[in-house]
Amino acid sequence: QDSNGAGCAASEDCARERLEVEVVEAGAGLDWVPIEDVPPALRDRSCKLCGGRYIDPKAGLTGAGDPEESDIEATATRTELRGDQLRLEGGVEVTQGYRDLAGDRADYDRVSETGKVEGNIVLREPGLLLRGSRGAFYSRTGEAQLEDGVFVLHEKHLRGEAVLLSRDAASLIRIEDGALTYCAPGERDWYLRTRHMTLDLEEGVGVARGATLSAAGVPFFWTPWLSFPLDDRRRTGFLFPTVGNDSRGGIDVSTPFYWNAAPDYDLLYVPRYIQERGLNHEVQGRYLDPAGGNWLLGGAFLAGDEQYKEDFPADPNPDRWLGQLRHNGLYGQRWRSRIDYTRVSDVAYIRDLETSNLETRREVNLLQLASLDYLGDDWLVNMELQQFQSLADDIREDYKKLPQVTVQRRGDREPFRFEPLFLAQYSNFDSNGERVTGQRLYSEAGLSYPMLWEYGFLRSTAKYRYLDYRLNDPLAQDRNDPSAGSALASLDGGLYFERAFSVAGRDLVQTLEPRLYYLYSSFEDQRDHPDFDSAELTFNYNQLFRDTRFSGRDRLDDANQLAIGVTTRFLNRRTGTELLNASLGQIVYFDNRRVRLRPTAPELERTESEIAGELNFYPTQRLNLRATVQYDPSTEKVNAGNLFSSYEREDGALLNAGYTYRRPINLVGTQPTTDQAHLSAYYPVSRHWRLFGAWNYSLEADESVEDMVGIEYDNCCWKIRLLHLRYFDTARGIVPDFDAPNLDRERAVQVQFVLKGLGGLGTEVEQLMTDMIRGFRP
Amino acid sequence: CGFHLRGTGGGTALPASWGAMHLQAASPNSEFTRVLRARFTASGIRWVDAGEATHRLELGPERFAQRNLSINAEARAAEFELTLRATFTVRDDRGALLLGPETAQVAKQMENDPRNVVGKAEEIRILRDEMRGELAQQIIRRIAFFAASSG
Amino acid sequence: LPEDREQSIAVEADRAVRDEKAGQTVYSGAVRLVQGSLIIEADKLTIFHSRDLAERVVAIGAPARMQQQPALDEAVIHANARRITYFTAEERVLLEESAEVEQDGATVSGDRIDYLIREQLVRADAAESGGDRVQVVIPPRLAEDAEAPATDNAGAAGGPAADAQDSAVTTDADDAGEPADGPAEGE
Repeated sequence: QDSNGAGCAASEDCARERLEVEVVEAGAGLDWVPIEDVPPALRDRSCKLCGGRYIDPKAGLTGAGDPEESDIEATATRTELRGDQLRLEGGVEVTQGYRDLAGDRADYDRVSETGKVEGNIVLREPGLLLRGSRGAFYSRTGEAQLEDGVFVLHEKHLRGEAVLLSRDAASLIRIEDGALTYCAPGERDWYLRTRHMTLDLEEGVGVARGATLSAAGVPFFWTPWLSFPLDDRRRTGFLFPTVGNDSRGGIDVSTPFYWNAAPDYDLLYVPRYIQERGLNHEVQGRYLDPAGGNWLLGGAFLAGDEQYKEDFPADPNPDRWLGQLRHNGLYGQRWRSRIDYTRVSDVAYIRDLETSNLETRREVNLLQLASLDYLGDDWLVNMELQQFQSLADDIREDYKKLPQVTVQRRGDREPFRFEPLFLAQYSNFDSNGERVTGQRLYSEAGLSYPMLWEYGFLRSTAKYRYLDYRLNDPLAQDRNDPSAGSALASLDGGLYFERAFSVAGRDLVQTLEPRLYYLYSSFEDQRDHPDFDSAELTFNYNQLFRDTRFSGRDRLDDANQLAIGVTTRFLNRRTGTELLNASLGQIVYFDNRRVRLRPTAPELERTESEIAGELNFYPTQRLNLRATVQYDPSTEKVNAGNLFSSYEREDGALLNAGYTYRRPINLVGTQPTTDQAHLSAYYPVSRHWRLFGAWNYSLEADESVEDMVGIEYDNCCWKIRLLHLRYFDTARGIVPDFDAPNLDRERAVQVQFVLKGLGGLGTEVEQLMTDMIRGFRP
Repeated sequence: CGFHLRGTGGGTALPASWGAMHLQAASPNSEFTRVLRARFTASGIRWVDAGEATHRLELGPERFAQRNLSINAEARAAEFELTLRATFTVRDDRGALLLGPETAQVAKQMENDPRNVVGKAEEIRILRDEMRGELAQQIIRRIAFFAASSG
Repeated sequence: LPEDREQSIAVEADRAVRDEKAGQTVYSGAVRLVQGSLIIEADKLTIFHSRDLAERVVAIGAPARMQQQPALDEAVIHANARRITYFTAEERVLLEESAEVEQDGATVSGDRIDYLIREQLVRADAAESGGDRVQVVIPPRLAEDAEAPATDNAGAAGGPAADAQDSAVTTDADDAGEPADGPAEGE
């Protein structure tokens, strides 16, 4: 029932109205300190937004003495002690450990340890302030009951009033017929009025029954039941709807509902209405097993997707579903387990229904992995099942590892001692395409002798690698079972030069670290070898000092080369933090490289590799710049390079700029050139308004690949974000290409509305912003 | 031009007073913790129990993150940016805080090939392992400099 | 005890000066007055009497002390102040200047305290004396378990809004999703 503005008929209404004025309007006496009087150190973001904050005089005193064991010390103008009955009158002030109580009159019975207080009651504890007109107390446990109560939870930034306010022993606050708000005093932006509400400070959860949400005094939402988090420890309760519109599916409204069953498991159910598709039900359960693992089981189901029927008339079953199991566990610091399995009903599922996170939208296949590692002192054993569900029509399924077992010796690389190297891996590759499958055994054994001084290191390694296959090839029944072996020797040496110097008043140490790496490995013909899990490694500075140019283990590459590299670092002499590091290097080949990924590919004849450079520059805590380059001296062209700088200001303003260029020279298949600029920003234009945006511009297609612009209004107790996104999408069925004029551009509008203090799950908008603006944290 | 070999002119290796350290890691047997232990051992540190250690190194779990750095013409991820982060804190033998909690971070880029996800997954594995070495190197350097400057 | 007032008053002291005309006897030097369970000790004690009946006793000490057993089953009341005045007829004791009364662990202190023996009432009022406020200290009852008050559930150990450190649902297990080592451990 709401209070009537005119003269209040019943006394109860008057009390209510006075209370409402006192709670919503006034701030005096509620520990609210305007920002000018707040010490600078405490002026956090919410303080600036709200123009002030609660300052708890008893903050941090929890250790000061448990009331239950402390004396009750009272002062008053008049007291009367009669046996066990104590009466105090006139400005009564009582302290019991860190608990303070004040009032006009108080009667206390020592036997039952209960007291009655009347007039201007103030009860204070760290983090809690209760005021009221009449109240009863039980001093042993701090239980209290107050009539016409007003409460303030300082850290939770919440205050409210109640006709009857009580607090039980387990610090659960019960509110009968009261209201609660997060806003600053004087702001009537919103408050929650309820018939009955409990605030569990221990668990950080509030539950309201018969709750009405009003904004500026006008009720706009009623719910029979609402639970909300009192702090950010845990998502809970009825969370805020996300409203969006996407050119792929039209209006898109989801209302997440979160139920926290117990401290270690919770359930999230999200009914989501998509205009052109229907009602999608998303469910996600999380469980924390006591032994040390966390589990997430998720799924979504959309019966009869209208849009899908039009797009794929051939597909008889228009139901769309997604199943997901995720697990990470570490048991007894020895067994580490991981499951990451996602399966969807059809190839277009992620593109159509996962409009929230661009990162997942661009995945072309879904990882389906289960792995168990044994972290021994001397041995590391990995057992793994891995396959991918392809989401692109133009990419055939990758090979499945069912299973792969790797046993590897773990050495301590003690200097001046021989260290045995050993690794053995058995893999069984399968594929549902008409392709060669089979088993592979890879092993390597050898010795390394690391030598380390303060001014340098020299590490020599010798090992023999052996590869053996058992294949069955549907296309060539008589294919033999190839095997190959290759000896490898390498010498890796480097020196550390230093000099101290100062620039602009900073004491720095500059290092110069030349490094030479000679690698020899014998050649063996592997043209009849399949390619299950190998790929050409990206050429960069790290590649100079690797003992292979292929990832995976289907190729024993031949090599006779010397890599020359130099790294220089500028270090802060006191803290050792890196101000700048830059590296440049190149490989000199003494022989052609004959082993290639594709058996028919020609030998690599160039005698010098590209020059690989890397630069990381951190002039201040807030600004950093990173660049890499691959320059080909023979063609005098840059084959690849990128530059990325990001800046973050104290007030949370973010600015990122980047450029990336890559001309594919040695990649299998036709990979288009990437020539792209990136700009993203999150910029506060005023105390409440913020603009944000991200922009990926493809120079080679002279087209914006992806852009997003948004605006955010953030005030003391609520926040709203509006975002407009334009992105290119891999059109269905045809090999998408930029220059194709009909590459359709998708648009999406998302709105996020949060009532601060009543919680809110990180919604799609936040995921999009985190995805596109580097450094953004919701 | 003023350069001299490290160690010959006021080196930055860990001073003797830091000889015996105790490592308290979120996951003592993980790859990153082992790489770091090996690096410290290689620069002359003895790992001992908390009781007899002169200093204690508390190591948080490594945080690995992968995000798209650029998008190719097919609107697919053309390059990934991999970052590896770990926080560390140094205390003296009585547990008083000396340094940190500090965060060390390494970032690398790599080219993606949507047609060979398994192969690229292996490349991520190699890069992540190399980043562990560089991250450990960064942590040792910061502790060595701190130890040298704080005497 | 209630029957204290019928008991005779016995006083010991180093010196005693009796002044019949003024109707007062002044004792000084380690004075100790006993009347049943009522005991007053002071440096100087004056008894104002008429016709051999003590009407008023004024004890001065640094501080003067007093104790009495209000009833058989009640704890002994101890009190002290710089000046203690015992009005025998009214059965009232007036304590002035840093007065303090202790009963069963609870102490009341202030500038002026009235102790009404018949009603076993200790009353202190700062307003009358214009002095600073009255203090009361009550120790927690550790002995027997006091029964719960009107509120419904019996109080477990209460406490402030202690922030329970429950580990939120997702813990970051060691390097989330960490595949095994690569072929060569990079330098």
